[in-house]
Amino acid sequence: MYKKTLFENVVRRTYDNACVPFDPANTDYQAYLKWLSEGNEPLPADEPQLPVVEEVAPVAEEATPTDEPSEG
Amino acid sequence: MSVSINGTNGVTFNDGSLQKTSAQTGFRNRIINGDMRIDQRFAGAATANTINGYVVDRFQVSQSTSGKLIAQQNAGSVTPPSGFTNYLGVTSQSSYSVTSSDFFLVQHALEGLNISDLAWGTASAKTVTVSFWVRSSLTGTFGGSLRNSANNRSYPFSYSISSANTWEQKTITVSGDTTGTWETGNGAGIWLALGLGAGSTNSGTAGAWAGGFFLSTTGATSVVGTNGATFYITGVQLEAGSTATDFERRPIGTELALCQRYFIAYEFGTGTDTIVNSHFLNGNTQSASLSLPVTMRALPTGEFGTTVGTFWNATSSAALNTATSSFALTKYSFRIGATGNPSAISPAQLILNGTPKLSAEL
Repeated sequence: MYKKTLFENVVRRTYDNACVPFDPANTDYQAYLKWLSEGNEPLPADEPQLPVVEEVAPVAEEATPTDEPSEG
Repeated sequence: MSVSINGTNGVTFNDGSLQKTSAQTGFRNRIINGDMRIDQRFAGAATANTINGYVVDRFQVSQSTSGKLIAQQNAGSVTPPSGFTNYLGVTSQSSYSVTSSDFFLVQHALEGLNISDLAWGTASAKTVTVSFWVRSSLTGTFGGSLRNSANNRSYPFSYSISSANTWEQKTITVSGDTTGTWETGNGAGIWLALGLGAGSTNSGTAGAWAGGFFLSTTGATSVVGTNGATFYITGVQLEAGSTATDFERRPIGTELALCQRYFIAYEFGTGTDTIVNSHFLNGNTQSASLSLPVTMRALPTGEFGTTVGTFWNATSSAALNTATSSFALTKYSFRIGATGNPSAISPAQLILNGTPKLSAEL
């Protein structure tokens, strides 16, 4: 069994989750083509998962030294 | 000082050492990992009895009926032949009578690009010599074959093991095949098979080229026929010419690189030892690449598992995404991506973990 991926030229082999590239010289791809020729169809690709993004606190600006003479 | 020169044996020096004839220099041995030193997949551990693929690098065990064999580098911990530290050991798991279509074997594929000079399939086909050290708990006549990738040209050969549990060196010389189609590109050029049990359909007559698919010889000893029978092998060499020269010893780094053309196993572990820069790609993907140690034979199949890496904000060291979601593969590198919002973070990095594996095997 295979599953499509977000890349058009890679398919997932479901039993070990391996990524099989579409290269005629790759023997796993040759096995995939044989599997297709037997009338099988790959599963659709998983929908992209929106990851959780941790908020990053803004870094406070450091005071910069100045050559300006202070008034006073 | 006396030196004797013999057209058959070579040059014998006064200390008794021999410079054999037909000595070639550089990559004499077309077999990769013939001394079984490199075992990226199992690191010396035993396979399951369902093994039907590569064990030590470049050597695979095939069984048409699962559960009859296990294999392991240095199985049984016997002393290897002098000058060797490793061997591939196969052990029978039952007393099995092969059916006509069965086959059990150790085999090795030579890439076409590495045998193209042999000119097989032409009138100029060169003779080759196969040599190896073998040890078995069984004695008798054993079989094997050379064959092409189309499985329509085969040369079955036989050899005898006369003493049980004793290392013996075997030599088989084969005149090159002047007909048939032999791959000279990056596919499998020659398959070398050593039979451990083969049915009548897969067995042929020893010592002659045949237009068919044969893995062994008719009547050969069946290792799978005896529960607990062992078959150990090392020092496998295939070279041009009609003489078996000494086993060609290559530096470990060279041999590993030769193996990595077909298979690479990484061990990134669980820490933060391996960090690569990540970049914002195509507006919605955080993406990082790692160069491979060698150019692989073909685009490799990637086994990345579920914990290959974690994207981090390089400034704050905050995790962006614990799951990597996409992979791209070339002969030279692999790229890992995480689709979605993490792309907004720059600079970012990817901490690589786990044990990804890349395979471009024949």
